[in-house]
Amino acid sequence: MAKTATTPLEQTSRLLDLVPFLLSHQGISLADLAKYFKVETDVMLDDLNTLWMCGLPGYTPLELIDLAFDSGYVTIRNAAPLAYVRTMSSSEIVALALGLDLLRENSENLGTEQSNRIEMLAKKLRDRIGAQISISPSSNTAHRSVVSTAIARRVPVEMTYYSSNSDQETKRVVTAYDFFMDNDVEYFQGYCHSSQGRRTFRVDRIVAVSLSESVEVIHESLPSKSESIRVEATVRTLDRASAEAFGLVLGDLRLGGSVILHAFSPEWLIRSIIAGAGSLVVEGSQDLALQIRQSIDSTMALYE
Amino acid sequence: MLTVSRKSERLVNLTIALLATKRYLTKSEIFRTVEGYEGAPEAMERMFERDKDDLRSLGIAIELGTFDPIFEDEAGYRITPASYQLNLGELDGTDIALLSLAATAWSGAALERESTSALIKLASMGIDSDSEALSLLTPLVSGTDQNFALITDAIVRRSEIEFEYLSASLSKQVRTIAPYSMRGQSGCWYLVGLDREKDSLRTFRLDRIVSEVSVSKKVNSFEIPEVLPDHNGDECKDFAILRVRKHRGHQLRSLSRQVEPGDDWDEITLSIVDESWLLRAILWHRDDVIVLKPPALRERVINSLKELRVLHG
Repeated sequence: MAKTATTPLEQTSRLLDLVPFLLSHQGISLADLAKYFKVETDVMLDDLNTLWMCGLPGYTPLELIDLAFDSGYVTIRNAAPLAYVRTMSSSEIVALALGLDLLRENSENLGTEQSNRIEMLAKKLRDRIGAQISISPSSNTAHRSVVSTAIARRVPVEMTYYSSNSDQETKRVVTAYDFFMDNDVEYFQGYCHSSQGRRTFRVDRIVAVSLSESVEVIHESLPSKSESIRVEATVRTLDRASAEAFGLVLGDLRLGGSVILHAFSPEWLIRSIIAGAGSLVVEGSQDLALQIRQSIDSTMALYE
Repeated sequence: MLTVSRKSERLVNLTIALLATKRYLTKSEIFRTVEGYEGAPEAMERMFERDKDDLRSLGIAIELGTFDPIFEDEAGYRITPASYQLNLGELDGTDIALLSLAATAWSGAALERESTSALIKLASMGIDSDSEALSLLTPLVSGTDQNFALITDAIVRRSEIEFEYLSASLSKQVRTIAPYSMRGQSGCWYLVGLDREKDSLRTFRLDRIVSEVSVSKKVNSFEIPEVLPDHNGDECKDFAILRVRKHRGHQLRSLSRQVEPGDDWDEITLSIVDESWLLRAILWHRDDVIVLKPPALRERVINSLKELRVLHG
């Protein structure tokens, strides 16, 4: 998102980077320039007006940076001392190195030459900062790309998906609609032909996915089974894992107090309550308490 | 409306002056010639000290030296083009395209600002990006944690950090850490570092840090060991043996070191890295998992189940 206000230090950083950028992009439109730097046009105008007052000591027209932008297109002259592209900060290098790691993850589609290039570039960057910052390989990127291609081509995908609610891997045919992020986790929405309803899937729970050749009909009129469950529970012990599992707000938790638990699947709710080992006790639903007891009894039977 | 930031203008002018000079500029020369330094000498001194800190925080190295040390001249300042300038070695259009694609991975995530400025620098190098040579996907990093950049910087600078961390019992604890490494795994970011109070290596999940991370100004205050202990439990000496129903318990199976297949149940062996986590995972799987060993873990599972039964009775 474009920025509407910045601190003097952020502006300084931008001004120092503006000069070499303009020297290699003479005549760029003001709108494109603002877009490149992810700021509003007004902020970019302020930047250019500030830069226009800068130069070598003496500050006569001979020493000042010469900028022209009245026409809506920006040109720069007399800016030799700042013509150098500024060295990268450690965070910038980390951003690039981790991005390269993710690119290499998708090695199935890479030739040996590109793969080697990425490795060399990542090493070159890491050598400069000497820091151990890594991202574990995952197949998210490759899976995401298949779903993304399916959305673009409007074809369904055949997918093996791990459902944490039921602890099972299932095969499904899904027509994907769009991606979205929630709490740093990426999901996609789609119509599941196997269960004939709209469903939400976590990208990191796709076990395998490929484009489907079949033409599937979408029965959009059928109701979705994903209805939210709300149940009251008592906080018996303060437990971080239970709070995180149910997305409870820290300030709402006090010993002996009540909280409302939300879930989309009763099975997931029961499992999460049992996993909490008594940190949360269901109060509001006799039916749910009965299911929890039955679940505990069948587990206890294994130990007798 | 035209607004000119005096501070930004002064910082840019100072950078130009120090970068353009072939010799060291003394403080008095700077105050006399660089636009923006005005007022009482003490005020200018304070302003200059702050400006130096600000430029250093932007990664600009300001060198302190004298014209001729034999005559003990007044020390002066300069920025050498070699330290200021980006030098990534020889790069061609494909390299620029790959690096640019890598930078876009942070769209909407923690290092978006840094990746935008990195992209601008790459685009300013005057090398045409050969993106047509690439048929790669845009990668995507998850994680919007605002402490991310602060911690990565602290690792690079070898500076200690302090933060409030949410304990397993939901209390906030102040931790002082020498940060060693960061890794992203299963959608979460983890910091590994030496806990100064406990004098042992600890792992922290970034989203459990509940305050802004404060970074010590002291740099190079510790060394990072060449080899850090493995986080996957390879060095762990405690094992659990579980019986897991066929086609169930995927999470536990993915962590197993050994699987003995059976007819309806498989027997898996896994390291006990975090017993509380393991207890939770076993309970979550209900009647699809039985603990065989160790007896203490089996006892904890049985006791938890008994307690749960009473509480929901």
